[in-house]
Amino acid sequence: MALLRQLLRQRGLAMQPALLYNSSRTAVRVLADYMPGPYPKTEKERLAAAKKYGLLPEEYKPLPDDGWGRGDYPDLPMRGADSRDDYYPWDMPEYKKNYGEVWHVESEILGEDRLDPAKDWWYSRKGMIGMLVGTMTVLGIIAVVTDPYRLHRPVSVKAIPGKTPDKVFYSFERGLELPPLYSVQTDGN
Amino acid sequence: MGTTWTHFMYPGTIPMGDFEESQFDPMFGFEATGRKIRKMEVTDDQMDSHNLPGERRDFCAKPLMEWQKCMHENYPFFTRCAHQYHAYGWCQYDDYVIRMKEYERERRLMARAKRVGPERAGYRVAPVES
Repeated sequence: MALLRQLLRQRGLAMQPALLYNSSRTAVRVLADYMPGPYPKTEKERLAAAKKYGLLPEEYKPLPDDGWGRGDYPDLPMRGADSRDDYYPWDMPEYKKNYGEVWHVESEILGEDRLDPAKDWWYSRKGMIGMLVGTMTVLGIIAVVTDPYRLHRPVSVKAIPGKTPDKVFYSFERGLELPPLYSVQTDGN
Repeated sequence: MGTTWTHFMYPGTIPMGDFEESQFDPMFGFEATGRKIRKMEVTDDQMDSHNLPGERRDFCAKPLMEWQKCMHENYPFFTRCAHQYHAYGWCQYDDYVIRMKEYERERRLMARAKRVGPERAGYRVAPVES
């Protein structure tokens, strides 16, 4: 006990009373805080649900009550992390999310490595398809036109004895030997 | 001399390189002196024992096997096998030179066949099936 009192008395350590006993600083939002309640029917329930998810009442719109058990979870716009600001000091930079911010119901596909339906592409969709079709058409025309004119090295076929049976390979030196059959060489193992 | 460009501009004047076998008799023009026959220095059984793949069973199989044997025996001091390594490289170089010469011979014989006609061109005679 004396040791604990001594630790608490020292300044600069982590065991400060203000840190130990300040419950508002150590408040954590856990998964249970995001669990949806029943679908809001009255205006009062709607406002309570909006406050629970940290949204303004005008931007809170519950997901449709279609029997999939999503309750009062908010219907957020499909906007991926790729569309969010790169340079804002997010609390969780890997998700581009702030602490306590409500997550999209399909947030697992809205990461930086996945889908971003709201992405503002440089090219339109028609332009992208046109570029693909144009590139493949030009390459295809080149391939079809140049197909009879094959590219090859200016050398003859590689001499591999035994690949073609009974074929004899000659060098350019002089010699009057008779061709021995390659396939009968089996001795000297 | 480009290959694709020459095929496009002057079709039928150059052979198809390593895509086609020669259409001329290999002894044509060498009747007086003869040609030396390239001999394989290792046997099929030796190459089988060495587990040599098919595309490596060319006329440089022997220096290749010597090099690989040296590498195996001197592991991991591969610099001791520099001689075998260079012997294999020079063997492949000489083989490639022969291939280039064969290509040039084929090209000149094609031009000659166009000049003198097919009877004197020296085309390869197909062996008669008996």
